Amino acid sequence: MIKKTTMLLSAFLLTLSPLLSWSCSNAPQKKTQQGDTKNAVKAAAPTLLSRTVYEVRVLPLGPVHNCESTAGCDVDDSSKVLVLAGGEIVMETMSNFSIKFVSGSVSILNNPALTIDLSKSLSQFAPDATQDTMSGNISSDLDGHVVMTKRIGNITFDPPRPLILGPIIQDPNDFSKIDKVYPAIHFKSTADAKGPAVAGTATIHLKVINARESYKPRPSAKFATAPFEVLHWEMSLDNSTAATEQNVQALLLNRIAFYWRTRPIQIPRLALDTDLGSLLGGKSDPNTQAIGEVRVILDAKEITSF
Amino acid sequence: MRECTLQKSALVGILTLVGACGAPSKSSQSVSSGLNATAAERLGGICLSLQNSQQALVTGLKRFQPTNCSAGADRKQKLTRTLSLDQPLLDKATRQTGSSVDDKVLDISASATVQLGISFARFAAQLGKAMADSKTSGKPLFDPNKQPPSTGTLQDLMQMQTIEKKKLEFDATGKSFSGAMDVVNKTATPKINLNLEISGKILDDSVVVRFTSSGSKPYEQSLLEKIQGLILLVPYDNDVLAVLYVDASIYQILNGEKAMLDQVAKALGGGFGLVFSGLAQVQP
Repeated sequence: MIKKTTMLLSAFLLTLSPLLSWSCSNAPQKKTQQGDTKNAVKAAAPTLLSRTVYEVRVLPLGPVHNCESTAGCDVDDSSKVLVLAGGEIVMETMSNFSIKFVSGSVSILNNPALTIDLSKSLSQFAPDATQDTMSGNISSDLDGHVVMTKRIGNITFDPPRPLILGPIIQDPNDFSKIDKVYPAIHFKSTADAKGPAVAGTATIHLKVINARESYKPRPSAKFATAPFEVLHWEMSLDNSTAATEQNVQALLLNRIAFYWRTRPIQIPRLALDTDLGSLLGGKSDPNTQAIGEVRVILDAKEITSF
Repeated sequence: MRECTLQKSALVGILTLVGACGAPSKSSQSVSSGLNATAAERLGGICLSLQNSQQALVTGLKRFQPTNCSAGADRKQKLTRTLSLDQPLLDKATRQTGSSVDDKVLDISASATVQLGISFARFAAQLGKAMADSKTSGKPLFDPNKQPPSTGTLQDLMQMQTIEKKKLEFDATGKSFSGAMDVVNKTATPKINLNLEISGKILDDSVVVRFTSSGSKPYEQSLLEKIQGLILLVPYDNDVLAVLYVDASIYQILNGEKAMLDQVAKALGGGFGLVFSGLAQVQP
């Protein structure tokens, strides 16, 4: 009994450890790495961890002809770069660290026809707490530094794709050398209320840019004013993979950069690179072609924690 | 790494003791352990005895009080894998630990009382068989790398390991025991590294186990700064009442206090559920 009790203490600590009820599903799951399916325990549905209002800036990644003389094309006061659009978008982070854009849109060059709505563009990627969408799908890579998944929302990935680093990062230096290519990831979804079916293949390059980068909140930020350290890491698509609307739906952008605050866990900045046409649902016309690839930068203004 | 084993004499003593405990135990001292005692009286009596005669086992536990044992018994719950903490006994506080405003620790004290749904006699029989099988096969009784059931959460990516540092051994009386073990997560995140001192006692017909981590671990080494607690197993009404008091200090990694507390409370409830489920099943 004593032996059993002491051994169970370790199990108790395991459950206690990382606030471990951070769930990836609301249903029984199998253990992806150890295959223990018989004793799967029903997990609680992910809960809302935080809601962040982001200031959005859309920057051209190439020259835009006559941009400065076009209405809606402004020079950012603090960074002095050309901005094609500005606005606000609200993102929710769930307790399993999945993210969902819930509202907000911005119009490029004040053109209603060029309105970016991330909640719509990434709708299939959004987690659905009412479904068993993450059941048995998580695993890890690089000795537990990277969380992998083979399913998010309505989209499956084969082999699993990298999802996030950490997510509990106690020493960012441990992550500083991460630099790995994940080739030939097939993804697909079935058509549903959120949108049509998507399918494709992508090669993802995961790389830590700076394990201890200083991030300075934007002047509009209310959640913080002083600079603080973030772990800056990126996932980018292999150059041979053309950007498509389907890639965007699967959050397979040309580049997505996370600026991850480790304590408290926050995402003060996200940067998304893709071509404007794909971001607009496959829209291709002279306007989108003229602008080409854009960078959507989201800087946190307000973070409401729950 | 060594597998814990019990001294033979102590083992026989325990099994003999618990094997006779299928019903509320009779004590010559008070009605609190008599056949007609309520669960509250039973636990209150044992906890009073603990407080009076075994202070080393309960000292420093923030919510341990005989009256809390009694009150907790009235709120005892049936065994599930996701237990609720005893809300009236739940206590929390946030503490600053460093120069940065973000360097905080959440101190939480919690308790739960659970009816395991298994008689002490059966419990002892199962444990005895497991031990006999282990002796016959020569294999460890419990796998130090054994992982709990999958939960479908990020915790499934962890690989906890227990490393025995000091063999669990009984003293000359055969009723007190002590040992030490490290509890670590073998995967990279989160880092957990605790050094636990274990001590316990056979108290009348009940078993008390105290665990305390050594020192305070810095955030870079362990998400849990420190932990201490007590597990009490009491035969009652052809069943086993399991009581756990725990004080845990966890580095605050979420900004929202409610979110942090919710997550910790869920983890504690899951932890209690896991411990008690294991105790009820006994099977290693």
